Amino acid sequence: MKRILVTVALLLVLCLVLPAFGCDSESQPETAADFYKGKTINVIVNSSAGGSTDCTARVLGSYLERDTGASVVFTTRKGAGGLEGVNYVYTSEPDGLTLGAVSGLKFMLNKIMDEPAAVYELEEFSYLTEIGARLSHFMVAPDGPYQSVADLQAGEDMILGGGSPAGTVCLGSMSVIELLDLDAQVVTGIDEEADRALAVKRGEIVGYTAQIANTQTNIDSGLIEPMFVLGTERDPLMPDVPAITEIISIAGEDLELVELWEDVLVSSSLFVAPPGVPEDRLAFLHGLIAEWIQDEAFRAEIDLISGCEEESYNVGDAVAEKMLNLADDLEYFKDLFLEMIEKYRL
Amino acid sequence: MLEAYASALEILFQPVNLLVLLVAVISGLIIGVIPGLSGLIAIPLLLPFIFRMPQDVALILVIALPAVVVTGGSISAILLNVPGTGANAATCLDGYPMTQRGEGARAIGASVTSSMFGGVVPVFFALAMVPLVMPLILAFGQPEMAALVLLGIAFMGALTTGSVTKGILSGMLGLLLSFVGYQSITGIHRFSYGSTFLWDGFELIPVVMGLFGLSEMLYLAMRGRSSIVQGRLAARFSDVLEGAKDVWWHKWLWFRSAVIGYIIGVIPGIGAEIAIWVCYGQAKQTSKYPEKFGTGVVEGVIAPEAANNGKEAGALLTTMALGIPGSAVMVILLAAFMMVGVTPGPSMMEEHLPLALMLLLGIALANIVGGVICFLAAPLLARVASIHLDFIFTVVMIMILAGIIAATVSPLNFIVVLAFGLLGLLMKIYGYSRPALFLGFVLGAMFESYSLLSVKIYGSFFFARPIPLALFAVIIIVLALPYIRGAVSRIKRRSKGV
Repeated sequence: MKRILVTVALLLVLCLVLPAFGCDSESQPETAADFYKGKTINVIVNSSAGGSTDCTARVLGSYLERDTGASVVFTTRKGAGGLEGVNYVYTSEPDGLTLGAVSGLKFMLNKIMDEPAAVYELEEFSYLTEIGARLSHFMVAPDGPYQSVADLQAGEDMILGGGSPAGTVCLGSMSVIELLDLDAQVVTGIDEEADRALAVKRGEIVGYTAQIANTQTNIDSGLIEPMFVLGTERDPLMPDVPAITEIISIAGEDLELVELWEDVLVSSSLFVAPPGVPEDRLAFLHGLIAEWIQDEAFRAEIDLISGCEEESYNVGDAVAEKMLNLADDLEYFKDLFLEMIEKYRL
Repeated sequence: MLEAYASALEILFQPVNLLVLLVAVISGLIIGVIPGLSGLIAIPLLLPFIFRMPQDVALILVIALPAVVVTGGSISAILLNVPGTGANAATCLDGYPMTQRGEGARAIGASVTSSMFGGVVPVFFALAMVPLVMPLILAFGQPEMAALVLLGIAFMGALTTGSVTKGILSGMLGLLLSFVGYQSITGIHRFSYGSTFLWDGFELIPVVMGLFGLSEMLYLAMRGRSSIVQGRLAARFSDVLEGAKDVWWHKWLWFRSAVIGYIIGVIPGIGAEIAIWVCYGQAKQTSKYPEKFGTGVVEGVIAPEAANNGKEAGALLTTMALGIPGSAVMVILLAAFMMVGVTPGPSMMEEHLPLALMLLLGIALANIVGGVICFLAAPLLARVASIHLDFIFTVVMIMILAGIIAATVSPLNFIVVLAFGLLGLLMKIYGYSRPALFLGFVLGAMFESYSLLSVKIYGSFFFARPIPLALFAVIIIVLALPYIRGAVSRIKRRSKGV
């Protein structure tokens, strides 16, 4: 009996002491790598399923699962032109378990155009990475009446195409009118890329701006072809297509506009986390992304989505710096684009 | 060419590929049956795995799955009045009354046979159609699209079984509801009251689930029914065969509907939502007993089901042959193709002809396998109609909830389902037309966009072009046909009386 009591007493002591040892081990700071193990990471995608941002997110997600031990769940929140998803991520718990995969262009343009429903601030987000920097090209029909800038400048009462009035395509087309001083206006509301390409082929619109990766199949099908790049240098994807500055002389504010399209308003897939995510978790994720970028298999998968050898990868601070610079110039670009919408919208 | 066919068949009939096709077909059917789920949700889930699959396996998987989704969607439309996809909404009109009469097995037999051949036959003339596709697409500019959508709206009258005034009022309410949200041509927000939830208007899935599924369940519960079926339940295999025979008896209706669906599918931007209503409307207008439509007429099942599968085949052909995606699902399909290193378009048909043929034959085979599975399962499925309504109500509510969670992420959509469920219930009780409201809702914003773009691009007389004028003539005939028939029968009666 005495032995039993001693054994029970010993067991009780062990029960009290062992957790204390456990506490000791728990009191050691938990690493970010440990934090993610067995957890669920929610990736919010703010653009259409099957688009380049969605596909890129799914590739990143599979590597995230492999290297963190967490499960990754994707949710598409593309409502309100993608704002629903960005707002959701911005206001999420900053624990590093909610990440956003957003279209870089929409993300920036919503702030440039001061969209009231965009509740986020560019300088406050936690930035993980930005993949891709696709330039805007001006597309025309391969067999249409406008084969050169001179043809465009000689044209009268032309109609260019756009999607949403404050969207990339519309503002790109308006920028072309402004830079080339065309007698043209932009019809808004042709929302899908394929519809715009078909409208060009039918002769309903003269042209519009698009990124090669988004419209490669339409080029292959002979619906459209790029006339020039909205930038100061050629696009490595289309080395035969001249930059707009090669065709006409551009200086002053017009050059700033071209540089905006070349340096800032490039189509990319942006990966963000809510403001206030613990530094160690952000650093851990940055480290993983930096490793993947060096991984040939990862890059090969991204290349397949991009339709070319993707060279533009920015991680962490580089993305944040770009957004900070843009945040400083928001008012200037907003006034510029609002003036263009007023002048050139049909 | 024969060598290319042989090579395509050799790839397709490899055991692994056949197994993948079977898995994809079964998944596609299940996804179709559950309202709210569609290829739009399923294919993105496959994208991360596609990279690591052999090219032919990945392509068979992504092409076979969406090919049969609408076939599966017709089953819940017929048995529960809950369309699995928006493209099955018209099937509810006569499929569900057939189920109530105890003829669910026959309705499924007709639907599956119509769907199967609607998906298989176009594949065999797809290659011959390739040279015609581009001119057809280019012929349909903004004015032509506006006229085509207007033709769909004109069939609103054909969906009205009772009072014409109530039918028109229902359609007008639908049109009004379609105007909620952001209008990208004018850049104006309408009736959204600053809410990002209403920015894109009401989503289709919650509307269709509430209007048809929830309202029907509430109506049955109010009436104190114990099961859906009100007559003798006919759920033997011979009853399913009866449905297949119905398709044979109405083969010209089936053919017309499949061709209309196929042509509409080929044209990007025009969805199955127009194809099904146009085909349902023409089936009613050309019927010898149009007044019986909506009460459980098998032609009302055959026409929309031939149309929606024909539409899928047309959209797939446009995506593959031209690289121009005809719908949101096709955009994802295009991405999947590119992920495995295949760029759809003319070059695919030239450089990868065996692969293109393999995919076309894969679509046909998926439709056949899907059809056979549904055909065999139909007698069992039809017995759902005799299960006690308590269970059915629970199952339908779970399906609606699951569909909403999967298809939309906003909890506010539960309120939309409830609101449209109550609206649908009131409409049913007071004899207003739910299909007319749904048609107005689906086509209203589309017509507004195409007509506004037409005015901006072509001016006020945008309709003065051959195709819109021809379509307007069809619209006039469609609207006048019941009156012409009435006049002819009066003349006949008078002459007999004399």
